[in-house]
Amino acid sequence: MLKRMMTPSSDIEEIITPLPAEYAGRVYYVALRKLRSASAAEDVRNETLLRVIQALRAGSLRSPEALPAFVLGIARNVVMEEIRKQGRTDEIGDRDFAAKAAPGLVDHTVRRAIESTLQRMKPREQDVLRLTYYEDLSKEEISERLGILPERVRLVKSRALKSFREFYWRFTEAKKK
Amino acid sequence: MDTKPGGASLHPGDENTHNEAKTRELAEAYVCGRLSPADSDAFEEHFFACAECWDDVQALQKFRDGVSDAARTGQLAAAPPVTHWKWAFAVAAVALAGFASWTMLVQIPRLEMQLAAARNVPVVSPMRVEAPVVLAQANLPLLMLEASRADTATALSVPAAAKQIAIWIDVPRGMGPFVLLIKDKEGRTVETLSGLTPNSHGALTAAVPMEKLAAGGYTARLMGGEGALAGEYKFEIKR
Repeated sequence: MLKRMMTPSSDIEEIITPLPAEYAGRVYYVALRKLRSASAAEDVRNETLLRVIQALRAGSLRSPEALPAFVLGIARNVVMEEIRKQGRTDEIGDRDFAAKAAPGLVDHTVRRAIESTLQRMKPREQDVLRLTYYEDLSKEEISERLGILPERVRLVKSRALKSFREFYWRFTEAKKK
Repeated sequence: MDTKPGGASLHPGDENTHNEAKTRELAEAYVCGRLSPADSDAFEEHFFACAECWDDVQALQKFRDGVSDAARTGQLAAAPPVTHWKWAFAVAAVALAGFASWTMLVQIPRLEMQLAAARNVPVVSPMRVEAPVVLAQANLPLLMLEASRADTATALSVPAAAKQIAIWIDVPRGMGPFVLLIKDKEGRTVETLSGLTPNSHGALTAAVPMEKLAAGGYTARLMGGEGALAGEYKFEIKR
């Protein structure tokens, strides 16, 4: 597919069509981390995809393998422009907030899946999740605080995430029906 | 988690990079904001090319948001002060160990000594020279004889391994020395214990070898200092 993309032809629109599905989510996610604004992240996503498509049509991509980094590079430029537009001067690297979702903005399906996951866990295992994802402690800190081995911390998180993914998938499929 | 794997090693699309991302739980570190800016940039380049890691990032972000939401809304209770529990447990363990040690090393030996003393005091007394010595023996069968008008025998079950029994007879203070005759059912004297004097509890104690006491009924006759009968007791030995 990417090889054909390098050849300007009537197929170019067909090649561009899947790009939004492939990269829109990634660009939005990265932009949201930097900008902490859903509307600004949406603007960045739209502008980035537009520029990528224009660049592809102009034959600016040097190789098919470079497409992911190419998209990310453009996204970062657009984020920087957005930051400048907002009158901010801090470096983009210092703006990686990794913020948690605001209260009330958590998806209902996520809530249900979390609830189901927690019901299957012991209180001590729930402590591991809380300390990891709410209090942002490292595996070593949790290990020391709860008096359990770091490997046990890793195992609890891994199992919980697996359980969450299963419930989330199940509830999402049920919603489709 | 080592959050500084080196940005140069995180080349997008590199198979080794993917394995590294998995093993070092980079996706979680990225989502939780624990990576350095350089590593964060490198990981973004990686998951822009890696569907599996992008899937992990999305799942972890949802999971983190959900857990945080549960913690905020009280669904996920606050972690207990585990450190205090640990200390409380440690203190309790030390106290228990101390109590166990005290019991094992002090209390039990003291009680054993008291019991042995109760059995042995009159026997090892200088005044008691003719009766056999009652050895300190934790499982020494004790036959307590009491005068009774009823023609009933005091039964004593003696383990097969026991080599002797101790006899305990309460007597009035100020009397003695005594002689104790033990007769079997046929009236044969199987043992004679002379020179018995009361111990500090006002009782006579003496040891009788089991080789002289087969299973069956016996009569113990206690004679006073001038040969007068001070008491007669029936007992039965069971093996």
